[in-house]
Amino acid sequence: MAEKKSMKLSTKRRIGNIASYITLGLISIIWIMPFIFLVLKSFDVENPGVTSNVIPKAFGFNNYIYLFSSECNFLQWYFNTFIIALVVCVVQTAMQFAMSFVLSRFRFALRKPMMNFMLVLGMFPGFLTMIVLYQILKGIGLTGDNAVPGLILVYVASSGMGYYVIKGFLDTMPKSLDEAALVDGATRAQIFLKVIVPLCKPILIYTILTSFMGPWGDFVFAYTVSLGSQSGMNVAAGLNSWLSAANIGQHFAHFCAGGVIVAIPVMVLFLFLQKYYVEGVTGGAVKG
Amino acid sequence: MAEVIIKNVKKIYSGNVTAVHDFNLHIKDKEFIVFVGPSGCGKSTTLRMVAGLEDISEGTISIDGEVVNDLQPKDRHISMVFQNYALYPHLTVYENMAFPLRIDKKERIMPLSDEEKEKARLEVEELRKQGKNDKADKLEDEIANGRKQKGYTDDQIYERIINAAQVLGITQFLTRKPKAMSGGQRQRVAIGRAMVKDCKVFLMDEPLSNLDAKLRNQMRAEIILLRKRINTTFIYVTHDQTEAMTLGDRIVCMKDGFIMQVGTPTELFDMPANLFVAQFVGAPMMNTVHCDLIREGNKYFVNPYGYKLPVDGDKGKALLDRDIESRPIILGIRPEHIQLSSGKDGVPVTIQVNEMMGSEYHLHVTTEQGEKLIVRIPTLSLSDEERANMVNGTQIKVSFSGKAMHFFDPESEKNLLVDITNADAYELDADIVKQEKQEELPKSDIEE
Repeated sequence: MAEKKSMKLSTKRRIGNIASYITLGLISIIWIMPFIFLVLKSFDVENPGVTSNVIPKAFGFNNYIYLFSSECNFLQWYFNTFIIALVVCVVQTAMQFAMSFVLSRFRFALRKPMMNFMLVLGMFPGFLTMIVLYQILKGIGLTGDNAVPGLILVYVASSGMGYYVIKGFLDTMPKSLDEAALVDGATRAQIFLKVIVPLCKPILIYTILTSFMGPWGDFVFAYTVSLGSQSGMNVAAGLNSWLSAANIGQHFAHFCAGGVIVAIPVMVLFLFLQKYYVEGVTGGAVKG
Repeated sequence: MAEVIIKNVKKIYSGNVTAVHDFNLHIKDKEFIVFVGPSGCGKSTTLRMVAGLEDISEGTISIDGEVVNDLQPKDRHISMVFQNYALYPHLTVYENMAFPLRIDKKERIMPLSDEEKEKARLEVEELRKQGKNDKADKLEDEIANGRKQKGYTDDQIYERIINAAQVLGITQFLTRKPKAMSGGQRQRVAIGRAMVKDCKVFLMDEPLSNLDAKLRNQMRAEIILLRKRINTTFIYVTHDQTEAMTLGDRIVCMKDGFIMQVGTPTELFDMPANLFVAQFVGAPMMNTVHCDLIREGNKYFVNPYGYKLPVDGDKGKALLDRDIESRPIILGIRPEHIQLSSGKDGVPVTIQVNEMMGSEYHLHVTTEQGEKLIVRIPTLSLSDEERANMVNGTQIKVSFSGKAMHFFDPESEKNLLVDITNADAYELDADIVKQEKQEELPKSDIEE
C-alpha cells in the first residue's frame, strides 16, 4: 500500500516536472528568439532589409564594417552614449553612496519626511516630467546638438532618489564600526571612505552596473532631447533612425549589427561582475 | 594622571525619556571601575557619554582635568573596546590594529631609537666638520629630546603592534582577517587595537558578553593581567555581576538610570545599600522574606517563616548601636549563608528542585508557608547518605546564621545598617569640589 502511494507520488512529481520544463522551455524560446534573430541578421550580407527567413543565405561582416566606416554616425552615437553612461555612472554612484550614508548614519530634522517624499516622488513615471524637462533643457540650450550634457544633467539630477538599496545595505552594518573608527580618530569622511565603502563592494558593483545601464540603454529621453540631431543622439536613438519607413529597407541589418555591438560591453561587464552583482542584490537582505 | 569626573550628568532622549539621572562619580587615576546593572539601567549610555558617542544632556564630564563635553571622541584620549568587537572586516588583524595609528596625524615629539641616534651622531660630526653648526645643534637636540613628527612611522606602528600582539598572544594571527578567527581571538584583536593607542582612559563596553562561558572566564583573567600591564584608568561596563566582582576596584551598581551604590566588591556584597543591590550582587540571588525585627532589651530577633531566630554577632551589635526599635523588615539571607540543620531547631522545608552544580548543590525549597528559598550547599559538606537524600520532595531542615542577615526597610528597601542614601552618597569628594572652586574654571572653557 505504502509502495503504491510512493509510486503515485513520484509519478505525480515527474508529471509536474515535465509540465514545468515544457512551459519554461517555451517561455525561454519566445524570449531568446529575437536575440538569435538579431545576431543572425547582423551577419546577413545578402539583404540589408527586413526578411522573412531567419537564417541568412550569405554570412559576412559587412554590416559591422559599415558601422565603423565614415558612411554612418554610429561611432559618434556610441561615443555619446559611452560618455553619458560613464559620467552618470561615476556621479550617480558617488551621490547615491553619499546620500545613503547620510540617511543611514545621521539623524537630523525632517529626515524621515524627506525620505518619504522621495519615495513618493520616485513612484511617478519619469515620462511624466519629460515635456517639462525638455522645455527646461531647450531653454538653456541643452537639446539637439548639445543633448549630451543635457542628458547627463537629467540623469544625474535624480541620482539621490535611488538611495534605497544602498541604505538598506548600510543599515545592516553595525554602527559600532563607525563608532570604533570615531574613537580611533577617524573623521566622518575617513569613516565613509576607509571603512564603509570598502565593505560595500557588492553593492558598489551593483550601483555601478545599474547606473551605467540606465543611460546606456535609454531611448525615450535621449530621442526626445536629441531632436534628431546626428551629433547629439545616443546609440539607441541613432539606431532607431534606421528603422524609419524610408531607411529600414537599407539599414535593418546594420541596425541588428549595432544592437549586437551595444550589447557586448554590458554583457562583458555582467560576466565579470556577476558574482558581486548577485551578492549586491541579495546582500542587504541576508547580511547581518 | 587621568581622573574622570562625572558631575551631575543627565541623558535625556527625545520624547523626554531620561536614561541617566544626575550621575555623579569621581573615578580616580588608574582605577578600574565597573558599571554594572540590568539592561536599560543606563550603564552603557554613561560610558558612551564618557567616550563622546552620546551627547551629554546636562552636567559635565572631565578627563584629566579637562571638560570634554564638546570634544570629539578622538580628542578625549580614550580607547574603547566594543561588545561586538567592531573590527574592520576588510582589514587584516595587523591593519585593524594599525588603523588608529595610521589615522593619527597629530604632531608629537618621539624619542629616537638607538639606531637612529647613532646615525644622527655621525651626521652631527659631519655637519660640524662642514661648519654647519646650526643644523648640528638641532640634530643634537633631537638626539636628546626626541624628534618632532606627524603621526607614526611604519617602524613605530610595527613595533607597537608587535608588542601588543605578543602581550595578547595573537602574533600568529596578524595576517588573518577577522572572519577567520574565533570570538575570543577577535576580542583580543579589539583589545589590541585599543592598546596600541596612547590613551588616558580605557573604556570597555561588555567586551566578554559575546563569548561562551569558558572563554569568558579565561578572558576575564587576561583582562586582570592586562590591567596590570597597561596601568591606566579603566571603565568597564557589564551586566554580569561575576565580572564586576572579579575585575573592579570599585563597582557602580545602577538601576533605571540611577546609581544604587558605589563601593568595593566586598562592600557591595557584605553591605548592600538596598534590596536591589543585595539581590543583583551574588549568585544565586539573595533570599528575602517579610518579617519583624524584634527588640528584647539589648537583643534582637527576627521571625521569618514563623520561627524566632536570634540576630547575633556584628549585625546584632550594629542594630543596637543604631538603637533600632522593633519594626517590620524585609530580611535578606544569601543562599550560601543557609545551612542544613540536623538537630531539632531549624526551619522545615521541602526540596522542589535540586540543581547539582558539581562543587555545590543549589536547592530550591519551599517552607511550610509556601515561601520559596534557594539554599547553596557545598557538595563536600554532605555525606553520601545525605547526598542520596537530596531528591525532590524530601523534607529537610535549614538554619540561618544571624551574622549574615541583612535588614531592609519594607517601604524604601534601604538597608537599615548602611547609612548612605542615593542623594548624598556619590557626590564628588569634598576635596575635589573645593579644588575646582579654587581653580574657578572660566565659563568659556566649559562651553567650548
